[in-house]
Amino acid sequence: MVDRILYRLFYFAREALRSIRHNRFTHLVATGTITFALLTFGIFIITVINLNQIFDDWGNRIHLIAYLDENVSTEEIKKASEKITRLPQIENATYVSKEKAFDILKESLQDQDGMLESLEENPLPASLEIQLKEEFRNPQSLRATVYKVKKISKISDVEYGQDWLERFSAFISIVKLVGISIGGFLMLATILIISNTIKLTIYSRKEEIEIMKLVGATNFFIQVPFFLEGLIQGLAGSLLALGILYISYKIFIVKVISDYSLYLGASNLVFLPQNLVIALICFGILLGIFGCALSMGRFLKV
Amino acid sequence: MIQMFNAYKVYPNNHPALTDISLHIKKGDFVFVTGPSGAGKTTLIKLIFCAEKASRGQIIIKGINLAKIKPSRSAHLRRSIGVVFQDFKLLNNRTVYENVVFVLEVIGTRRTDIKRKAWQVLKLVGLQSRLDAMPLGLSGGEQQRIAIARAIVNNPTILLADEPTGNLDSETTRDIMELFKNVNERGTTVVFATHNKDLASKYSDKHIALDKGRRIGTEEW
Repeated sequence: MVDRILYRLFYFAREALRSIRHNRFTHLVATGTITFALLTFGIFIITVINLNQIFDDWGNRIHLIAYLDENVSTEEIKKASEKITRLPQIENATYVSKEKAFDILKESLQDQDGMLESLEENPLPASLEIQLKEEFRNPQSLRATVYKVKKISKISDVEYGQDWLERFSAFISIVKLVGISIGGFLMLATILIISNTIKLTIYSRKEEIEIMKLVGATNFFIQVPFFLEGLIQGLAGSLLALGILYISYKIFIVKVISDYSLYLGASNLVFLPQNLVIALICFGILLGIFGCALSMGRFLKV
Repeated sequence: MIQMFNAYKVYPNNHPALTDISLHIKKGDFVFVTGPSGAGKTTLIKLIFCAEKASRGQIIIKGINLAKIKPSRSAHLRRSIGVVFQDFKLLNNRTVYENVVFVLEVIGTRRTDIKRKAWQVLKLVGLQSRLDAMPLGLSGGEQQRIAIARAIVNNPTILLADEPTGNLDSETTRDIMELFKNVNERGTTVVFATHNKDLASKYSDKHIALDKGRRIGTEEW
């Protein structure tokens, strides 16, 4: 019994490999299609992941600046700071003295700091730089936090680029929506293209299927080698796509993007995480098998 | 062995291929189905090996009613029916030996039996010296011998032939007919479709004559 099963498995594998060898061109086209489709899909996923990361990074820069009244004592600053950090939305608050604010301004002006020399006194107020907890870095929570911070005594004003933040949030929502739509569309197109390509490869062998049916092969027996071929095509296609993707990523990162990373945000661009690599390989294999299953049906109705 | 009761076959384009066919072919018979092109010979053969379903009427093969047969069952039924075609229907990218072995592998014959059976049948049809040849490198007669070897390698109880000598010269035809006779003498029921009435009368007196899809003639069976 075991011997027969092993022999059957051996037969299926041998038939699948024989067919790949004999129909090299059609298999190459099918594998190429899967590679191309998964490559497009992979590029899309990497782009989305990295955009997300950049947006997160930008989101992390959301903070409030609470300006303090003139002539506040160290004690009063400490009290205000404590009141602020006790708010549930706040991660931390850092004190920036008048002098430090002036230094920062001076540094940012670089060569043009001469214009500050005409000032008789430091016009900048002391302030508290407030970081919000991650879950509160959105326009609504921010507005509520600003309202509470403003009520604390010795705080003269609170600044937080509101317009910028609202536009940024809307932009991210649109990007995510577009991303999901393009992703879904790509997935559908991929399945259609692959099923049609595999249909062609099966069509080129309809005589063989006809003869198999003629001599009494069951549908199961006819299908297994085709499914194996689909599986091999899917695996080869996804590995090829991942290889190309990784090499392109390395070249792109090293030669192009690293120079601009400062402008995009401090974070490095990442490749697909391990679980998505595995998912992409599984997706490729499933594409191969399902493409095959979709196309087989009509050839078995003898 | 093969029974038809008022069988009709109408193709989807409303073309009636067979009309009211009844027949009874017994075990061990050598029966010719004769008639001009378009008479319905090929359709009759197709109905017997389940490549087509009858539109009306009953067909019973080896006691199995084909009207209600499931796909997996019809695959198994085909294993006891060998079929030979005018255009051979060989796998041209496989050798003579592989074309025959293919059938045995498909139906799950034991590995140890495959070699022996293939060798025996190829010897019977006289191709034992051409095992590694590719079909397209052989003559029409030799290709038809491969097809016959493939059809009988599993010792079928029924052997169907659809104009198997249609493309062959008279000398090769004689050789091929001897092969069919030989197979029939071993107990296999043979149903042989041909437009060649002389050939039919030379080898058997059991004829089913068809014309425009209807049975003509006076035979009782």
